[in-house]
Amino acid sequence: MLGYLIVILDRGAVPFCYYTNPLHHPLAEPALMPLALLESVIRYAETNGLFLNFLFGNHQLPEDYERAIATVNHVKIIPALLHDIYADGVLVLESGESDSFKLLPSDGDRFIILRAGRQDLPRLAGACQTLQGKFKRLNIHCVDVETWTERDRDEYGAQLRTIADYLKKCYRMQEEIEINALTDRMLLGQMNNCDAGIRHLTVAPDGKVYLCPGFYHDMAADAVGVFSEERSPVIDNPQLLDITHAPICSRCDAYHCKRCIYLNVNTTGELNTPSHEQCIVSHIERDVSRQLLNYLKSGPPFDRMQPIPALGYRDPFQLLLHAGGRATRSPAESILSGSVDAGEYLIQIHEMQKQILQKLGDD
Amino acid sequence: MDIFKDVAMGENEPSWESGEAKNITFIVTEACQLRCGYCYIVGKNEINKMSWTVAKTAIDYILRERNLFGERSVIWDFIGGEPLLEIDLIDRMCDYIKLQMYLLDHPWFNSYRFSFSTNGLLYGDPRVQRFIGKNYRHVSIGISIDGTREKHDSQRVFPDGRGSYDAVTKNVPLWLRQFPNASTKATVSHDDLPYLKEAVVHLWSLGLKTVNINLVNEDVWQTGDDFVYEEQLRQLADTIIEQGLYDTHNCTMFSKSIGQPIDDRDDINWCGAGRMLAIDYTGTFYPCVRFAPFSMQNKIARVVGDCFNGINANRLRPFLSLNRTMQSPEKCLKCDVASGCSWCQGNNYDFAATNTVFQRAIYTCDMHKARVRANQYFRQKLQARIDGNC
Repeated sequence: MLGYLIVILDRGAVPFCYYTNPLHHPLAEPALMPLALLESVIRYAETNGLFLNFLFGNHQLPEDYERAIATVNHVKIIPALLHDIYADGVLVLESGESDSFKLLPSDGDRFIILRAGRQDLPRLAGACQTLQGKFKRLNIHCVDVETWTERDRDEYGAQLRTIADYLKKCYRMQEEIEINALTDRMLLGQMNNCDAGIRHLTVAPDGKVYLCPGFYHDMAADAVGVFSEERSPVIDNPQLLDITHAPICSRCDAYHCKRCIYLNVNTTGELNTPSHEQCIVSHIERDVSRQLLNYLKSGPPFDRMQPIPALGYRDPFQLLLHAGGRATRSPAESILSGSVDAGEYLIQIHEMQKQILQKLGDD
Repeated sequence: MDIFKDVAMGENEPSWESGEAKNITFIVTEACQLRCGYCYIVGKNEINKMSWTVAKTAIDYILRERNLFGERSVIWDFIGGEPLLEIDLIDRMCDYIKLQMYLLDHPWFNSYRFSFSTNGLLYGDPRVQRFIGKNYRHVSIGISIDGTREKHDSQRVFPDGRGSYDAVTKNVPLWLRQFPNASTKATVSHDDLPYLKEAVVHLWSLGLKTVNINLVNEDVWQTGDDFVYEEQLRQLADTIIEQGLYDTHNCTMFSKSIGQPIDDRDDINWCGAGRMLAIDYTGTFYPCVRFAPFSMQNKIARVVGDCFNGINANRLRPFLSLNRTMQSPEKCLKCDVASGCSWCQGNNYDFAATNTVFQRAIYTCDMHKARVRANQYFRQKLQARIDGNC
């Protein structure tokens, strides 16, 4: 069910996720959404009980725009240039600019998005540590995974393990921060994806509605429809946005994966089919999360979290190929295919076969 | 006892290597001498022909990449347009394929076929006959004939509107002498539906034992077509039974396995798109020929790589992960007579509401149900005939 709208205030808005916006650069002039359209979107959101996320460009909004958005509860997603103007904004940073991170003020409540490209991987852990004390939650978004080589993926895994060590230290000091790539999977028992098109839609400065900002910035022709206060947009083939109609993802337990439909379309041609590279990266994150949780499991609150099973694959597409498109991954397969120690085996078996153990106990 | 199980009519035609062979289709030309009314190829032209350089590069890539093409056997399929227009190129390609499979000690050496779907106009051409003689043990050729002169000429026409029946059927005796078990593929659309029964009977009279009939998958069917279709099949059933043809002839309109509900666990995709490979004159790879640009009416082509840069595995993932349930509407999943209801992935894509292969086109739904009813009629009448009740 639709819960919120993402509103792109400026054609040069900061890209905050996996996509890029070629119009977002320091010299870009403001190219704002028409004020009348913005006011219309706000009215529509209020009428339909939708939350609003505003995507900013590099410029502070004019006063009339400020007044308009101030009338409604919202989240601002802002580039680094605006961090001191909108202190409550979700800050989008580029990992390649990590030298400037030290200038950011300390803020234990801030939500930061850190976009990292292939070139930034060797410095990713360092960039995260530079942000220590400046965030409550950090989302790492790898922006060009489709171009990564095996070596890049190994580097990403190594960087995540370093970040995991950093998290261990934070947790020892009772510093309760979250880093999406490592902590989300530990907390989740089911899929928690982006759900673009289901939980949110995007309204762009051109007055059209898109599944997400990526489709506006990269493929302007792929609009869902024209925004109208009177009529909600109709999405063709909406079932393809749902996990039940995603043949690979529906067999997967990398629950934290954003399952980015924009990347899917760009790499495989289908909304519901992820690329090999996206699956691999999500499973690298999943595996480092598994190791981190395994390390932390003796103390609260981690002792109450479900163990993450080890897997014998890094791309769930392999399950389809091996099963001829019919079977689903069994818990036993997860256990038996992984290289985990005996203690972890027992924990996993216990968790997954509670009924059997209960029955054995009863007998 | 179900007597239908024991007769030749309705048997699935045995496929070479149990259908497990890799199918590689070379679209050697987009030219064709005919302009068939129902042809899905909307961009016929005399310009786009495969060059030897592209053909050789594609063959080299396919034979080199054994990990990607791991099947034990291969069918090298040549289509067009009309493939026999390019028989000189095909001959050179086939010689090269044989030589390279030998030199590379390739598993496909001596486990291959050269397959052709042709309109038959050039079948008697000396160059074609020389090719057949040279590759006889490895060649299969299907000639498309739609039935009687009237039906055939209503669709399969030259650009000036003349029918092609006489020009094609003059080659049938030679074809059947060389390939006695050859079958033909006839395509049925709205206009020629009333001629279906006589078309099949006519094709049998030409000496063909097996007639494959395809309904077009596109959105051409009109209200009432299903009743015309059922009546035609009932009349065909009557003829088959009255003339005792059920033990000697076959027509794919009748099937022993059609019309049953499909078990939820049977979730395979009907269509083999993506498991096969089609290559056009530019060396571009497609999941099958129906995804090539000249086949598309509404969408852009779906490319899965090219012979110069190789397969794009990500572009193949949707095709290899497609299953029945994720592309079918609820009514198909709950259908009591679902078995035997086919679809074309390329047609699905071309007519889908979005750019997806995950939306099944169901234009033939009523036609399938009519076919199921006709099969039930045939089964009951055959049983009564055998039991001596009619």
